[in-house]
Amino acid sequence: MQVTQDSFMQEPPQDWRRYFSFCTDHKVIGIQYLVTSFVLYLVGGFLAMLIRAELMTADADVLVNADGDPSLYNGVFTVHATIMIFLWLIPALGGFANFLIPLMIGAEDMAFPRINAVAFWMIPPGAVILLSSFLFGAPGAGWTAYPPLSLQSPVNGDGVAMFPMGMTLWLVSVIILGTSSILGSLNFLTTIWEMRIKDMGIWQMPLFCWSMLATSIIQMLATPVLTGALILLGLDLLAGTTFFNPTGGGNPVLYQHMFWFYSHPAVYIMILPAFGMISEILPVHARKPIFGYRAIAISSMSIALLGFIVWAHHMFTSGTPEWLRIFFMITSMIIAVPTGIKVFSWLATIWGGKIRFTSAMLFAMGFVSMFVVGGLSGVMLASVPVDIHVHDTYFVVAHLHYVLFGGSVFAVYAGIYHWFPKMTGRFLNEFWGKVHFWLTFIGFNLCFLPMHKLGLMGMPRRVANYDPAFVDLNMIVSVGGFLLGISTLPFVVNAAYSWIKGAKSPANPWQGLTLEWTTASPPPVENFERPPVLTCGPYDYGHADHPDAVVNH
Amino acid sequence: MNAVTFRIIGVVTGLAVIAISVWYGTNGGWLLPVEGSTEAALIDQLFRAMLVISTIIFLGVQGTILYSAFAFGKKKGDETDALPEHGNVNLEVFWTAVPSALVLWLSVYSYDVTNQVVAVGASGGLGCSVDCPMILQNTAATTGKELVINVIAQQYGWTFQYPGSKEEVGEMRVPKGREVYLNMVSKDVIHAFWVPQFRLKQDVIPGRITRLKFTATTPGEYPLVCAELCGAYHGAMRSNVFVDEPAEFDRWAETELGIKTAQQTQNLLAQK
Repeated sequence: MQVTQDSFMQEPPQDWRRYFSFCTDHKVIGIQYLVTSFVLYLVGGFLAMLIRAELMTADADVLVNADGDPSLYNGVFTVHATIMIFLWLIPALGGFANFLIPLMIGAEDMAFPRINAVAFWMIPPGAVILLSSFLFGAPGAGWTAYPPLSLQSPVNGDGVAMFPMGMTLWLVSVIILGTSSILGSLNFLTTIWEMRIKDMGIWQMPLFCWSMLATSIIQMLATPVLTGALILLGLDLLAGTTFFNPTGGGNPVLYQHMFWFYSHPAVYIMILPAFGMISEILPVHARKPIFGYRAIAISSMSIALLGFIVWAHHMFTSGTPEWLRIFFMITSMIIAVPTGIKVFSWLATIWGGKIRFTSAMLFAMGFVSMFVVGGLSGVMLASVPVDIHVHDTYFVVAHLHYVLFGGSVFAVYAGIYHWFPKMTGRFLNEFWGKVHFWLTFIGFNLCFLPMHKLGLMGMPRRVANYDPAFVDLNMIVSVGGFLLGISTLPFVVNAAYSWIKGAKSPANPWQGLTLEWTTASPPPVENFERPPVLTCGPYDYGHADHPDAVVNH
Repeated sequence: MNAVTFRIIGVVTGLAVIAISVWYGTNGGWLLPVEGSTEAALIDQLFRAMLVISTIIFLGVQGTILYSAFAFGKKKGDETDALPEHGNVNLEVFWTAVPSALVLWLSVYSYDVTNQVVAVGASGGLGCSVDCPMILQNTAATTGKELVINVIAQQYGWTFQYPGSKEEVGEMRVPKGREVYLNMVSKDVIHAFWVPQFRLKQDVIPGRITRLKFTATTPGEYPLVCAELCGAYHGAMRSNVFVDEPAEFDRWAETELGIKTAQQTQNLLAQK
């Protein structure tokens, strides 16, 4: 009997226990990353709703202790941001990278499978340590942890300074998660560079691999700087050194430079893989080649490189010298060019296509639509005079959520609807997928659009109480926030149900052309039964149907 | 639809998008609070220019997505792919060159506004080391006509020290039309001085003096907001800035602070 790829579907399902073990199969690790980070996303989202509950009124009255001290509020938004960055977006996108890279380049596994498993297994302890800080007085200095605020010890009821347990746990957690991210990137970089099948030159690589190449370079070069900064901060906190503590001659602004040297590139760590996934998803569901393949690949690399010389745009009001502000303004603005190239290329990709409105495609088109808003407000923030007004306000909160939610989270959802059949061998329910999309889209815009005006009008970020004039807009924002919370419910139920009982998927449910679709769903342990062969480029849609078409490669 | 009609519709749509964007951008005032300083006027003009450009791009992109969604949906039963179009060099050059030109123009424009708004080294960072803040003195290179106020920030409030007075007062009043210099220090953590109506913000950093310069234009009472997370009661670290007519300010300085220096306001303004 000839073995067809679909015949793998008859094999018994893989044992669920492997997902709880130190497994070195990249596919298992990818799913471990995705599920773990999604659970933490729900935790972070719950914290976000606590924030929105607090901000429904102008006074601090929800997240306060008996004395009316809103320290807990600061802890909640600090942990919210830390989770969403280090425990949701970075590992979730890393999960896709783990699952997809070897499949897309025709490899059996990652270059270093054990390091890969180690990188994942650093996430759960990191999460537990971070969340346990709530038991000891959560860190309240924001995810940026600027000294000297982050160095101030909490005081107990009698005014006696206590050991800064919350802050210490935060530092340990972020250092562990940063290390995990470095290990992961080492694997991605080596795998993409060394393990492509023979026929696949770099210009035949799927764009997701290009974006992960760029991302890995950032992770490997920038994350150690954050780790260094946090170790120095920890020494100031625990050993009484004065690297950053002005009492004793330290320089608090130096910390900001070191922090943002990582944390601005970190934004690209969270958005470049999303760009890559969108570049994969749009052509498949629009049935058209990606428009401007090389331009998109090169723009990923240029964003990664430019990303290293824009960090001080977070510090335009920090007493940064004039010439530096101008330098960082110009570099930051230039990033809009490669980003714009991507957006316009995506638009040209769907233009004239034969669009199939799957849930994956809705989220991908929603991504382009929402990300543009974040990109435009980003250019405004790059401009020194405008930034001086809106820095540290809700305008920035709006901007970053349009990029990281309207951008990255939409892309993660698009990716899940797109690759769920490959990962599990089953389809997600499309009806509930669309309900999920529209709830998310509406909730998202209700929640984050009004924030632009709040910031411009004068509402600073990270506050538990604010000018009562802003109550009405904050109420709309909160309603949107709760709607966003509700929007995850159809997805969670859909994913859990479909994983067990969803309609079975063939090897190539969307008629995609990248290599991961040439193997069974889910793929066998060794990924490909026979060594895969490249028969066409990753985006050569339409060539079979239009053999006479003039192709402009 | 033939090619000519298609082009005409395209051009008309483009012009309509530009017209709507210019209208929306130049009427973006509802997004911002009152313009309370000369600096605010400059910054708002830049903001409106960016709002016009952003609106054009926003409408263009969203319009393209919506149009594609309606025009290029898969027809029932059609399982074929679309025409294989991999790129178009002219188009790609166009959407690289135009945004490049736009951001360069915006950079130059922003640079120009920055120079007018903060040209006095208001950004601080003047190589001032830890010893400086202990000596609260007016170190900015002033011409003598400005009102120089020392601003002291600490968890969770603002105090102000006027020239000729040793007293720290909890009320900030400035005269309309006279340039004000702030020398700002923090006693504990980083704070940020922000008056939304002035469109100006500057971090106040322990261990150094940071500066801010502005000229208030519109009498009134404006919020002074701490914009840098400074602890549990950060949101409550709000105060007010009162912009007075010069004569009124002089009277206040004399009666409340017991100083005559502020008398200069009326004279100084008369000299201009």
